[in-house]
Amino acid sequence: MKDSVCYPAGLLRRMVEEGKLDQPGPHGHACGCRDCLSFLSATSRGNGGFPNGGLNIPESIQFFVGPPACGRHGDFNLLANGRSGRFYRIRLTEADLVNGVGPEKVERRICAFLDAMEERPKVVSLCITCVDALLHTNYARLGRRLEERYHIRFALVRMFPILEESAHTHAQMLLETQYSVLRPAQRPGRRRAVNLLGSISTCSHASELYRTLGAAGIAVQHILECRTLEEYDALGDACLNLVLVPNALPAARMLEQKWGIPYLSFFQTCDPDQIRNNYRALEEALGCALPVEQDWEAVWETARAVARRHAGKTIAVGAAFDYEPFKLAMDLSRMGLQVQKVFANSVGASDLPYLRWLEEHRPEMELYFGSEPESLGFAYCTEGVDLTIGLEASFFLRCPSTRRLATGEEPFEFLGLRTFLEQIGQALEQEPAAPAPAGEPDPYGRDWSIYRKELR
Amino acid sequence: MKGIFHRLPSLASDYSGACGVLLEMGGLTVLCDASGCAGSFLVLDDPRWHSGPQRFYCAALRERDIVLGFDQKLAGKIEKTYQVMGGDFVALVGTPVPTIVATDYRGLCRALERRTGAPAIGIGTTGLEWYDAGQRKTYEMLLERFQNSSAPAAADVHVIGATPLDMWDQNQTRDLLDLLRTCGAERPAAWGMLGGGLPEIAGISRSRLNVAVSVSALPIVRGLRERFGTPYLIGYPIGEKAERAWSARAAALLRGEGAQPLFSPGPARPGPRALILGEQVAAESLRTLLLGELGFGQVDVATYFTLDCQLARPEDRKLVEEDDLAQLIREREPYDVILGDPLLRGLLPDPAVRYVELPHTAISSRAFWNRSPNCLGEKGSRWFREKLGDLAAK
Repeated sequence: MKDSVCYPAGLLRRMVEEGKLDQPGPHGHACGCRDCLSFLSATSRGNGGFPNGGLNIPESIQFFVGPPACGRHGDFNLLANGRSGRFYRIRLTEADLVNGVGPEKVERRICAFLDAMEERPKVVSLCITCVDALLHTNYARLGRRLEERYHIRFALVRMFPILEESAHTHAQMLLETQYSVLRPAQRPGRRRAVNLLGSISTCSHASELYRTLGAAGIAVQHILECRTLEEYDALGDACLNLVLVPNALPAARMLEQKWGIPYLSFFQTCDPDQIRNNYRALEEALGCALPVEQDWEAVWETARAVARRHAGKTIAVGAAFDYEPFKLAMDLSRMGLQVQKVFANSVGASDLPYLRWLEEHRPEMELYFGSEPESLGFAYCTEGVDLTIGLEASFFLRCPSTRRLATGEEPFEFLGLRTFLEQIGQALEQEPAAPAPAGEPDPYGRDWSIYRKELR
Repeated sequence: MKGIFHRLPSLASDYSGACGVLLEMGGLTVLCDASGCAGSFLVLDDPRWHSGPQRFYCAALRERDIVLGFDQKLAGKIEKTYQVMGGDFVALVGTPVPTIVATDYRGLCRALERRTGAPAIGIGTTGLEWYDAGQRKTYEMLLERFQNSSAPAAADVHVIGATPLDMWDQNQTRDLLDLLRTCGAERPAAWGMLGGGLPEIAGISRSRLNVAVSVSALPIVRGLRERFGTPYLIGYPIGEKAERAWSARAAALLRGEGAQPLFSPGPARPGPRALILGEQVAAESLRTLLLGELGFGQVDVATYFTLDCQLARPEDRKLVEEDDLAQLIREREPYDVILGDPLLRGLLPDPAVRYVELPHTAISSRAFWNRSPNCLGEKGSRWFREKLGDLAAK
């Protein structure tokens, strides 16, 4: 077994420029479940968040159709999110696949189920898998039938990990699906409202985004805050969509084409200057002033305070938190934090500006690909950093003295970024977790660790 | 409603069963999936993954690979990975995608053996069956490929069927191997746990005793008795009395004396009634405790997994549909207690029924695996007496 391959930024930059590095891969964690270690095995990713994403449509239920194995990850994701009550599974058998009776069986079962319901949902989504992708199963008839017979809207959630590196990925399709059944009310003019597209959690209402837009008479909407289908339909009356992640761009284009809602890229980032630039673009798009200078200064002040207080303390980051981990490393470094290790899933030409910056300013930084077979070398890794941010870094660096910050999504506004920096400061403030005090061993206790024979 | 599952989550799949057997075998396990399947296994079905990277590779099949044919490309990727990760062998594990495109595992294995120089096996799991089917296929394939009658005996007693999907961790496995040593075993080994790997499987023909600790191992130990005449035991001891009886049987078999492979606690008698929900061999071991030591009068078993006809009693039931469990309970005399995975409790018609939670990774995954007790041996008496309270005989 070889040791883990550590790439200095300069080497990685040259390899990308010369086309020598074959590291395709989607940006970040495609399904949005963010709770999945599987992507740390070579090229695997989880996909457990797809059914959950489909259920973002309010007053909907979802049927999962596929081999029983494919539903397990989604089931537990929904259990964790308290949404399993709206989720139903129809298991395909080998006979269904061989005889090609899947769509008829699904239609029969769903119709029988809806017939038996006292109060029917307003939307039914169907989560399908690679099996249907390969068989090119057509569920359009089911959609028509639901519409005609029950007046129920129909959405198709495509959980197709085979498309993960395609031009149009299933993560992008998921976001399109979430807005595919919008039916905006006919209104004389667009409402003064903007939608947040692509984030998997809501934004704090204490954020300057709400404050500044509210002062300008503009509402902020997010699909996760829609409790009724009526509120959901109101998303279609917005005057602008703010695209928070690149994966949401196809959904934004679809909404522009279908409902005439323009969009603006307002991507998640840990760069305060980038956030300020985003606000300037937003001011221009909306034709109103959005004063955020104080917020920008407050973020920098927080960053300087954290960096001053914890000078010399080392940090590791990964792609589970930020779909652009090299940019994250650059942003945190520019704020004065000591990023020592980066765990990425992919690298491409779009990363070159960040790699050049790291090469010039932080040449000692260690860049790894958790997706490479060489990452097995971390199985015996005992070295650590002072703080790991996100899942990959804490998976690979297991030194007991390392503090772990389990974060949610990357911020896109100043308050979120300030909160994130404060969390870093608080985590570094804490004493590392002490080993459990030796006491009476639990006679019924478990040891789920792997029994390690020498891997070499 | 028939054919629709709402409260019962998807159970661990056949490829998870296969990967769970292989993870500690010393080979390179390649899951031939698009990447979502690996998520299910690693995150939900095997707690060992959480302790760090393993020799496991996800093939990450993509649309283009499938349209253009992925055999050569996959073989190349595996060869490159094998050069880095190494391993005693390469195991390809199937999922729905290769099933749909009818992947030729034999051909792929031959190509891999040429490229890597390591033996390769293909497990034809499909994602359409439960974990026990995948475990059985894996044990059969390992035996077919690696059993060698001229190989030395690396172990004299073989424990087959112990994986974390059936709640076998290092502690419980070690307890069983220690117990076997007290029965006269010199070098007991558990397949796929605590270092039991290919050398042990190669020398299985010289085994003195095989122990099946889950339902997937039953056809294996029976087949080995037919082929090599090796005696076998089914189940493991839970509780003091069972430990004594089990140890006596194991010792007798190791001395070459005859002994019944099954527990036989005797006919039904007055006493509390219990229903055990779960994997059949574990349930049978628990039934022995309840009937033989804790004074229960009737103990039935119901399972969503394989129900082995030879091991099952007339009242035992195979469950298929979500409502099958509620229906079974309605049609029987009331049970005083039901023992099973916490997630199965939601399927009961009367949620107030007395219920002892026995987490099973193959059902509730990581939600409860740290709450499951290691009750092997005499510890089982104490734990179950405490949980069953007044129902347990003093």
